[in-house]
Amino acid sequence: MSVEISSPSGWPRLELGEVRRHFVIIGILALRDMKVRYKQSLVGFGWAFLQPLFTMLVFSAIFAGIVKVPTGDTPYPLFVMAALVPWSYFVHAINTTTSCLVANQTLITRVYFPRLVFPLSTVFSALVDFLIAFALLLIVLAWYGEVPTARIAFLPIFIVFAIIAAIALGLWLSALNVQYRDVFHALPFFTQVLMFISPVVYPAHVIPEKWQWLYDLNPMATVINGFRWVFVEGQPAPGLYSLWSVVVVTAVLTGGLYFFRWQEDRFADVV
Amino acid sequence: MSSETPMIEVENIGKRYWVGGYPMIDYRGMHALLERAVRAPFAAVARRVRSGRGSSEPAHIRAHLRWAIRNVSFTVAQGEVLGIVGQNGAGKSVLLKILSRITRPTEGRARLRGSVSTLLEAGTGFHPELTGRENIRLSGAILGMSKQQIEHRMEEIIAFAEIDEFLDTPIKHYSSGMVLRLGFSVSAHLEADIMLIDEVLTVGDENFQRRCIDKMRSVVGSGRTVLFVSHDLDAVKLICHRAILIRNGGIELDGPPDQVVAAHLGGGR
Repeated sequence: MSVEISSPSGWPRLELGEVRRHFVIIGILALRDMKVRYKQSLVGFGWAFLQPLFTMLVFSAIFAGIVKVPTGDTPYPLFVMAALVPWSYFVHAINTTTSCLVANQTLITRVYFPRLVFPLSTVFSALVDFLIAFALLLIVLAWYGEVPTARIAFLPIFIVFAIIAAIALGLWLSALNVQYRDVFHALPFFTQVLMFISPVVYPAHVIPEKWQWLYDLNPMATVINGFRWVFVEGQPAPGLYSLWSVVVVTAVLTGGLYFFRWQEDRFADVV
Repeated sequence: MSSETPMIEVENIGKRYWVGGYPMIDYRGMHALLERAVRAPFAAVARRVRSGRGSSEPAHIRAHLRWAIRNVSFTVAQGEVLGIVGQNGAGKSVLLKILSRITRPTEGRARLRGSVSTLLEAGTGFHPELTGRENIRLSGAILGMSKQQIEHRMEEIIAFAEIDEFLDTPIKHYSSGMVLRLGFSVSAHLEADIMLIDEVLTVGDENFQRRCIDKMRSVVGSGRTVLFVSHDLDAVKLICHRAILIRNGGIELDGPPDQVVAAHLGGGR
């Protein structure tokens, strides 16, 4: 086993095989983050349950009780919960991933392993919260007497898509955040806006026909529509335009990988 | 010393840093890239009009760039222990960071034929909220040990660090000495072919330091190739087969440790 060291030149090499060799570290970092996350807190991982629960209740009170968003036959809490599960995963993953390099600066400046390991570990450790919120969704389903149909077989597709979308965006944000900490500050605003251009609190069909194509470019629209289609009776499957969101994610992911690798050489010097 | 291919080959390694102001490296960072893209057409015309100068960097950029090390070349044979001495700021740590792939050189190449472990600071990977035992596992894994290796060495690591009673308390409650002892203990039990060590012996009291040196000698005796950066000149003379003196970013002397240490001490400040 020999290591070649040289100055950066030309197109950055992706070297994903190297990342695969350091796969174990991804798990170790994710485990570390999980162990540490709720230390010295009373409720611990219960927060991953309480947060979506309270959000669902507040949203139901406002968007069903006051604003009266049209969700057809579906009870609003179920309607919004099906969206909150993947949505809160995505937001949580993006939030932790954006700051993951800066948060691990001591590691980055003292040990070598491919820095791609960091955004990957945050995206995966966010899955724990996802599972807990998912349990809440199942409880809500049971509450309304809805039984998941065979469509649940399609659920993994949407979950994987959400994970890949989080990685794709996370690569850009985490790399940019190393040099421009504004990214971290702008993030809450950005996710707030993103929530309103995704069908979290309202059904996608309220968007006028002529803008559907643009709206469906949003990968989270595809994911949320997918979740609703799987779990809620009478919700349509994601439309054909949703396929374009796959193209968007692929482009963002590929660009993100190269961008990240290009900037990676400078992380230890700049972070 | 064996006459086979060298374990470590360093060829004309150089590293340039951005000093002061916006932290960019090599001015090829994004900020500068955008700036250059916008300026490019104008700069090209201006350059043709002006008489050509060697460097293509505008003067105000060049003022910020400093060479930390330049034209550093040497080889290390298998099983050799090379000491690296020099004043603070001479470039020793930069060299080690490049060889451990933490940062990339601006020019030059290097090759390391074997697994590499770097000790830039004791306690790498430690997290204050985790217990001593958990941190041993975490740090060991981050520094490249496999799960089996860690479990296998767990007893030794704990014994060497002498923190038995506090093993299951979060290390944020440890004294700084305890953290350092634990950190060094984990690092000392790494099992890589090549070890790059940067001044991690300056920890603990005399008793611990003596045990550290003994441990280092057994590591050395096991045939590993070691690059040892240190200000502890006695340790360098004791442990190293050979040494190099780094001054102003370059190698001033390469030879027996006694000679190199003398040159380092004798050289003008």
